[in-house]
Amino acid sequence: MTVTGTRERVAVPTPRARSMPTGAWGAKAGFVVAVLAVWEIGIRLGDFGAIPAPTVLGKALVDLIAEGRIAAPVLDTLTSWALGLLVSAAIGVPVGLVLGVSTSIYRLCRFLLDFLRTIPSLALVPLAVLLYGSGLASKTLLITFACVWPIMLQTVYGVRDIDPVAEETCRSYRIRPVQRALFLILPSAAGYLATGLRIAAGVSLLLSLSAEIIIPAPGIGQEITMAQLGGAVPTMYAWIVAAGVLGIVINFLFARVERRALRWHPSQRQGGGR
Amino acid sequence: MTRIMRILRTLAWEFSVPLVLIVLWWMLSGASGSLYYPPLSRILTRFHELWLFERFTTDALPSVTNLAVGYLSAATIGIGLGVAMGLTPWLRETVNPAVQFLRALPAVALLPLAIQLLGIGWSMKAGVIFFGSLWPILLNTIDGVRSIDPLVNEVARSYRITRRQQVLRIVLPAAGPQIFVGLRASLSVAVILLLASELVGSTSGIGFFVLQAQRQFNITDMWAGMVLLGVLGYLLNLGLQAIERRVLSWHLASRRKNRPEARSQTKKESAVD
Amino acid sequence: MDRRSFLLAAGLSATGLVAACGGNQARDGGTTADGRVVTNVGVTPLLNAAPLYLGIKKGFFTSEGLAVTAKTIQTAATAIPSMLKGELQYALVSTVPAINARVQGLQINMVLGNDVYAQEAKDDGAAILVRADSRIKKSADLAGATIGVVGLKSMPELAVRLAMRQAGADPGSAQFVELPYPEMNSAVKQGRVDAVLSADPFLQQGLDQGLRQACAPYSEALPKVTGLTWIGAGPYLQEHSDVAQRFVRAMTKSVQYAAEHPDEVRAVAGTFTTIPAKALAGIRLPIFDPRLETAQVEKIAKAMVTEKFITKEPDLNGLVRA
Repeated sequence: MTVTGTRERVAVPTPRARSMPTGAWGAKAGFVVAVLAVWEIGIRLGDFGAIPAPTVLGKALVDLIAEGRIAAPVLDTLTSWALGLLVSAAIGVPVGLVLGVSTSIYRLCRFLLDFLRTIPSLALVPLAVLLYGSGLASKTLLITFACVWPIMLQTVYGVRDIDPVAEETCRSYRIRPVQRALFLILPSAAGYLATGLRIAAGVSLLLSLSAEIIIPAPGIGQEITMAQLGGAVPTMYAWIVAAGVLGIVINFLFARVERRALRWHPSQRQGGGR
Repeated sequence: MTRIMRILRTLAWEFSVPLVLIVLWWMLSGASGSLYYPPLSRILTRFHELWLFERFTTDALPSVTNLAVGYLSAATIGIGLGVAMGLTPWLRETVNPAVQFLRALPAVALLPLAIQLLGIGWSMKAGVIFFGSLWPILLNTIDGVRSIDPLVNEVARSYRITRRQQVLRIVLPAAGPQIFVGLRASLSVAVILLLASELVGSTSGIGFFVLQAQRQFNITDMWAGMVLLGVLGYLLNLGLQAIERRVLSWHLASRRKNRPEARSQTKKESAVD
Repeated sequence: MDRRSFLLAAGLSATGLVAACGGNQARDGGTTADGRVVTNVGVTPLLNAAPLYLGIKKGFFTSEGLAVTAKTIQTAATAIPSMLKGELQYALVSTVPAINARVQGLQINMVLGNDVYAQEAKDDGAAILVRADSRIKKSADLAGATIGVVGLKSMPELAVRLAMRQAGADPGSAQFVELPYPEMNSAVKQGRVDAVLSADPFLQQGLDQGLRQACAPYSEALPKVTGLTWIGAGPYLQEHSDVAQRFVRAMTKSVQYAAEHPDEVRAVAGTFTTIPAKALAGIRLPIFDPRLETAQVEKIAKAMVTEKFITKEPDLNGLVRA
């Protein structure tokens, strides 16, 4: 494997890898403004019940920020989000590697995998609380139970998609399993894995919020519940919007990581060499 | 004869781990006095009483119908929109912030909105399932379409293939494996949302049943409901896998031939940002 | 390789199960630096929880040597596991889930009452709301209607069913649907349901929006019956009976104080609920009352059997222990 060679090649950005021209930002902003305008007019004209208009909602959100009430719940949510994602990756990647390499082990575990990953994490709330209480540990458990599957699956898919020629080369040079895992399998699967992590990052946030709503545990989710119980509907939607914004930020960061992960991806070599 | 033997052997292999686990669970839980971890024998008895077939038509069937409607519409719209967004950069760039925002909204928090817009009937539940399972399909389709070698599309253009032909013959097959990754991820999301969507405004359904059992501390019934969800998930995945194998037979075949040219599916482009 | 992974998987799941079987004993919360007993109390941030916050503010718990912290709970389905785990020592829940838990053999006890339902509709903080043009004018008219309640097979549904039965209507003819309080008013207006059992502050909002109050099931069917009660885990109460008695004394004092000082209830409510200040001023307060009688609990349990919430009346012996 010519790892250094790969890096040098990709250091030269291809035209498509460059970010969109500044005009695209205008289009993005325009689209967002258009959606908000339709929403505001819709509320003013029709009966949408408890849904607040964007202006009302925006004011509630600004109030939350101005009163300094937004930081602590966001931090609580982010802590469980990160911890859950970390634990999921620590379990999902190694297990995914093994399952990807060996079809027979995959077959052995398939029933268990498909069975477990369709059991909704949220149904486990009382059991999680009984075992780990209503705090961070329970949230992490529930997140892990949901996030480990996309990471594991993407790793399996990534490992299976390894270049057969590179694999043959490894085999004929009798490269040892550990090295094979480090220098062939992991780099090849990096693209899929990065996508898996990005998906899992989203799922982790969703689960974090849902668990906070249902248990309830400290975080944005609990604030949503509290606002709902007290009838502070605009505040409730303000928290939901805050959760959405958090999602955008997380996705943006992971998309960056994903792009980095793909830079040294072997397939880039082929593309760059053309 | 040998074929039957082979199939039997495969089945035996596939079910050996579950079987061992079930036996272990059975033995370890046999004397359990804990309310929250009842003996497996009791769970299975309840499973038999409940789902074969007393509550099958009243609870299981409506849930599965909602699931089917929500998931299939998510697949249709997700793949359609994904292909469009994958092929047209300006559309992708414009809609992307909205997609990322919507994707980050937890279904549980959106239930009030769903009730507001779709009421409390089956359409609300199918809508919630649709909303949640759309994103993995959409994002994977976009990724799959974008990772097609630009050269291929250029060649297609120079041969004056129509847009429709290009999508059907080139784009969809090439993005197929990645689309199926999304379809599989979405399937388990859909089952999870089956439960979440029945949190409010429900009078029947598997999710409703599980939640109701939980609230009444009828934990054995809750386990029986979760076993049903697990079995349902396994069967749905099996079905999807069969479809995948048929649809992507060309991809698997090319894989087996060990030709480097067949590597159409390794991801080259960065994902949607 | 294959066999090893096989054994590994089997071993992992076995440990998972073993771990799952443990952890079912109640613990106490330890003591603070100044020797007070740490007591965590689970409450839903509604007006009904005001006595706890008043008690903390007034130092009723401190003078009994308790360091009480309020924790947010939402449903008994998660509060009771949390209590069995030892995270919470007490929780404020409605009678129905407490009886449900008892039916399933969970060791919980009621230690004192918190509030009783009103005797007259005008004092009732919850009521059936319908559209102004609805045919529903009283409890009997609810026959055949679709009714939104905040939780199925819970206290609100029980109250509506009892009120209907008392008025001569068949509760079985009505269909109950679960709806969160904020969605109730618009669900009635849009005709998605015929009626809802709303509660303050949503009740007042509904009336302001032109909905009409048809009847008040709690005051009709359950006047002066205990609503919310304070519960604790049986093993904990047994092992720490002295601490438990101190908690009951302080809590009783707090509930009585709340009953006598409505203005302070409103003031303290602003600190732990998100109810807007304007709504808080006009809201009907719960009727706080610490008394708890087995006969009342039995009345609810009997009703739960009649309305098929549970199949047979549970053994309530020892459920109430003050």
